[in-house]
Amino acid sequence: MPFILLLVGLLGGALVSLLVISTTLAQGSFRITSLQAQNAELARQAQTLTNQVAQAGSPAVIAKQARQLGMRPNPHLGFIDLKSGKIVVGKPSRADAAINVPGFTP
Amino acid sequence: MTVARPGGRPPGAPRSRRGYPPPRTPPAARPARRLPARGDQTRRLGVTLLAIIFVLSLFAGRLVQLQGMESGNYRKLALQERDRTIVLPAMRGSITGANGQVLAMTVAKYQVTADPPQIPLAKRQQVADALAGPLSMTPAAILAKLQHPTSPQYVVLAKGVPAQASGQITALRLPGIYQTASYARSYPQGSIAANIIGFTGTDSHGILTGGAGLELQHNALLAGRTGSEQVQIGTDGQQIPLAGSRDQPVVNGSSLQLTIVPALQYAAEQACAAQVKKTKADNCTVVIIQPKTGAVLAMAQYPTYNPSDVTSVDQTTNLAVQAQFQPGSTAKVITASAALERGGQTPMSAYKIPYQLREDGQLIHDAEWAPGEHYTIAGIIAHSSNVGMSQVAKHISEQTQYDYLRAFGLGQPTGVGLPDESDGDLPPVSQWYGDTRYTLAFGQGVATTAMQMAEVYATIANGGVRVQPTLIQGTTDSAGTYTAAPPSPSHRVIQATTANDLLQIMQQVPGIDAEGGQPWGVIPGYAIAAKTGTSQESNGTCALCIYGSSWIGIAPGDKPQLVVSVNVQNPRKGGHFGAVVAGPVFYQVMKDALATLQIPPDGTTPAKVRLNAP
Repeated sequence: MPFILLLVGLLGGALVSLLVISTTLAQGSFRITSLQAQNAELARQAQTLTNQVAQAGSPAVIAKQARQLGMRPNPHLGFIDLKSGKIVVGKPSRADAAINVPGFTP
Repeated sequence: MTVARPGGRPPGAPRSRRGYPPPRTPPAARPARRLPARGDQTRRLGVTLLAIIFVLSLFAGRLVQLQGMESGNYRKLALQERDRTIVLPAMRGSITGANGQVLAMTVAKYQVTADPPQIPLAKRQQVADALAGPLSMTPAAILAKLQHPTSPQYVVLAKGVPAQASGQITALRLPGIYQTASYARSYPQGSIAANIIGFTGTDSHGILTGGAGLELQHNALLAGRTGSEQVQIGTDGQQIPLAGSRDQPVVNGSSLQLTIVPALQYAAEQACAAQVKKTKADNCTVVIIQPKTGAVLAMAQYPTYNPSDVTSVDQTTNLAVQAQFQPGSTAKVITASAALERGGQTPMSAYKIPYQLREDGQLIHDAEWAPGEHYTIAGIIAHSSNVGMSQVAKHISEQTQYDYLRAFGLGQPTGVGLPDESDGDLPPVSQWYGDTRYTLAFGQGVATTAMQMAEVYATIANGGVRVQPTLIQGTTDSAGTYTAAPPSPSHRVIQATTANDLLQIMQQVPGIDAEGGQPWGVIPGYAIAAKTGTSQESNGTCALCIYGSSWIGIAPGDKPQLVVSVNVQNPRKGGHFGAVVAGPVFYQVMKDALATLQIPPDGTTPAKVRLNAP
């Protein structure tokens, strides 16, 4: 009788542990799938944002937006010596800007 | 009934078998009827047994066949049901400018498909409405596709859907709507530097492949290596754990960091475009080189193209390395340096400049003719006298002249690292005519690329040492390790003193041009060395009617950091001289370059060089 109980116990134990192991593994697998999906989604976001930043940082876009704000490229080259605080080259002069910044009144 | 039968009952013997038992008789005497009856049973048993054995052995045989002989095959078939080889496409590396600004990158694009039977009829309008926004299509168009799919269970709704829209669609959780991702190339800066970067297409496996420019030149490096993964999947599409997989790891492409400064490249492209439109020229190129390192900071051209929308391969030509033109006066410095080093001449050697010169039957005259001048060699270069240069050329042999032209890089690719770079056209001495040495002295009878001419001046700016130009600052592999490009190979072409002499002579040019009303080389605070050039070329219909205008300048002063080379081909409006057509582009670009690269004023004034001989 104890022998039979032992056998049944062993058999039952094996069955239960098998069940636990396979459930755990399957769970891990599902978790991997879900994390992979999450990873893909985040990579997608990162890509979109990088692309947007690169686009916004393009000289052409910056030039266009600066223009819309009324800024104009400075046609005069000027340099200030930071040590002496003196203008080394050039003469301060107004560019023909049409200032168009929201909230700005000259 | 008494008829005796052989072996039969003797007459008079009891008839009935039910009577007392008959006397024992030997078996032969047993009634004949019983023998066949017992044999029948045994035989039937035997036959059945045989049949059973036969059938069972068929089964056994089949079992052996299935399990023993064909087991491998069936196992393979079963595995095929579960096995999936996942192709892992490598992500193509990006291309960035000198400051890390992204010029080309890889993004995921999505194909959106529908399985109409999975969408209830009543919900179709709702699905179409929801998708209209992200797909930028009308609900009616989507509904039409859902109602009339290409096959009963499949219809492509949209291709090339960007990641953002794809995310929105995923969030909608619509039934029967599926998305598959693929890689696409994005050029976030638009057409900026398109002539350098090139474009990509997809090959038969859907993998991005370079079609021109650096995308083509460094295709293998950028592409990386496609990987694969073999997995077993369950019914839900998830991997079966521990089922064993054979993997070929994917190696993503490396990224290229260029020497190109996008802001400068843009400024140069804008200046080129404006001048081409103004002068109705064929095209314009600008090359900016850092002489010390050979780094190409900008290589602009107009017309250019949008790398995301290439309509023909012709438009992807990089003019600076693929288009040839006769350089004209900008090539004078080459023959001049040969005469200074090998012809016993000095910058102060004096020449008489006659009205015109007849050399080997060819009349040579100057663009801006000043009769009866006495120029030094410095004056001949600064005033760009063809008549003068023809006389200077007489001091050296044809072979020496050829050697110098060759040493300065003419007639061979510069090695800047772009596909299909042109050699230009420098005929060997054996093919020269009697007057070739004179025309070569002022840059006619030889074809060069804009890059080659920029390199000639970069060599002079770098004290006579020619550094091979390069576009690549370094590479970053898929693991993120940055490797700086090795320094470009360099070699000495002319002596440092010769280079310095030429630099000082060329510093006179902006002043001379300014006196002539073309102040394009005058930037306050900087001593700029410059040389203009105007060449004439023939085409099929006219002789020497196509002008090429160039302006090449070196700044600042005696420690040059920049060479800016401008060439405008075939201007049809507003003159054709280098100073007039290419000058404004040079001025604009050089000023932008000095400011962008924060090169402080050198505070020097142009060296005093005597141009007129006594």
